[in-house]
Amino acid sequence: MSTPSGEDVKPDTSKIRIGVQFNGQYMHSSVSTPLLFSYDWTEVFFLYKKTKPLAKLLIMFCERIKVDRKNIRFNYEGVNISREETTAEDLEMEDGDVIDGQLWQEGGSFER
Amino acid sequence: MDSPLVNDDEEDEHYERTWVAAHWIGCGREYHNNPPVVEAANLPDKNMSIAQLLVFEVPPIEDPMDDDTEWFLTEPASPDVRELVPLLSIPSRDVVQHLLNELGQAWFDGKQSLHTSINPEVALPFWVLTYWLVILDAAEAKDRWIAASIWSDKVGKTREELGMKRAVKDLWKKIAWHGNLPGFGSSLPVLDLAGFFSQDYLAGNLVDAMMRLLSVRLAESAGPVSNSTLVVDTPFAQYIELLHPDLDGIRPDNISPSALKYLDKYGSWFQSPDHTHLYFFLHRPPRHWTACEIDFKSKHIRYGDSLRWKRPQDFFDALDSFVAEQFAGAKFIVTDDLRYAYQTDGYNCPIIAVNTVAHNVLGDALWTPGTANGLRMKAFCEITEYTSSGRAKVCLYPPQRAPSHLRKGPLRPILLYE
Repeated sequence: MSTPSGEDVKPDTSKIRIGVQFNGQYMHSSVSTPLLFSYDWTEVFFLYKKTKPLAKLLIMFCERIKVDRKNIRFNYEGVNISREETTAEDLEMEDGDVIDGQLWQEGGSFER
Repeated sequence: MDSPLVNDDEEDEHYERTWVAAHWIGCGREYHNNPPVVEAANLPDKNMSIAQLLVFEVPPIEDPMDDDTEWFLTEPASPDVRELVPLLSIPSRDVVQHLLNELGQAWFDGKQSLHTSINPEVALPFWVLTYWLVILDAAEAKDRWIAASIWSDKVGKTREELGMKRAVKDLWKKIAWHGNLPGFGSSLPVLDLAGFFSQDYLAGNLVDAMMRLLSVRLAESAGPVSNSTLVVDTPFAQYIELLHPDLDGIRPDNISPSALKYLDKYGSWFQSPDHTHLYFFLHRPPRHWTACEIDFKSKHIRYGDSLRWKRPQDFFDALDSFVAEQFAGAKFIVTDDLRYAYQTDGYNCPIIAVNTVAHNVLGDALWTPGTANGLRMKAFCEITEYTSSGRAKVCLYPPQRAPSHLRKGPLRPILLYE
């Protein structure tokens, strides 16, 4: 691969494979519209830079499985990944590690 | 089954370092990503307190009348609009987001400014879109805190509630309206805390924040219970659910190593003879929070549901399989007799679930309708005071691993204490 000015671009070795897994069973689009549906187990791996914020990767995953990002909470070994700037390097992730997607849960009790 | 591999290949990344406008503008390129917006003016200060936000003047928000408006203009932006922009009405978030989506391609096509039918005579620079988004964030936050203020004025009637309300209003003068509260794992958005001053449902991140405070109280208590008992966060039950065996009693084989590692941490804790009780919160779809206790000593699992719904069998099958694995196949008895308060409204189950654990572990009084509003305000006060008290340094089990960028240096100050 080369740039328009002819310089060679070296392959990027800073990327690792990061998996994202999700197996939601219940989902609602918002508090006011309680739509429930089931969703099968899904796992996708991304080749992704360790130093790049994971926020974009998680959005790509949500777009791929067509679920609103707000409806999934992502954890890696129990650490919630909600800050925009968190990277795989911050979480000390290694090649092949997997992030867990869990349903965003909220409650009060009665349907309104 | 092989999982698909997606390469996040940003071939254009090197262009960001060597930007040549002629390579991009007006030469038929397809736009995919928003360019960085270069300038903004008169933005609301992100460090202003909630109390200051409540009186912050937000421009009127209105939707343009005509959806077929040609938003982008080939003419340059009108000069000297910096002072004018904060005085103009702003479009709704949907319109601003639509414009941001269209901006990149319009820019490549040679457009230099934009206007809306609200203020058609003014050609605005592109940075106004970012400005509007920040203002819309502030406006939405202001609306939520105004609602919170109305709620707390309405409910603050009893002596206890009046005292709590004063404490709340005092904290609103000290907490920045924007950003996250440190000390709660990865983050806790300040705006989410407005949910305490309402009849809104509460999400897992707030239940986890209340759980963390319980853990800290437990760790700080001098009694033997502090060494033998553990209160854990909401992912615990979600991870346990993954273990639900199929009809043949076989556990799914697609559980992530991250999930197994998380559960192993607790499995190891179970093994110690000094450890006797574990409490956790269980979410019942679609919108109900409950609490549960595992008593390792008497091999007993007690469930507490403020609405007295039937126990979710699938979850307890999964939990049974997990505890049996930790205790060489031992059978645990499951009952519904964890002491809890009966819920009399449609929104306080997360507070009651936390109160259930606080009652059983630390002896707190059980929730009643008379203490309901005060407990919501108290939760807010305790969470916000915790972040500034230094108690965040109390060591919990398992060690709460924050992302390394949070461990490296000081967090952006969010509390405005002097």
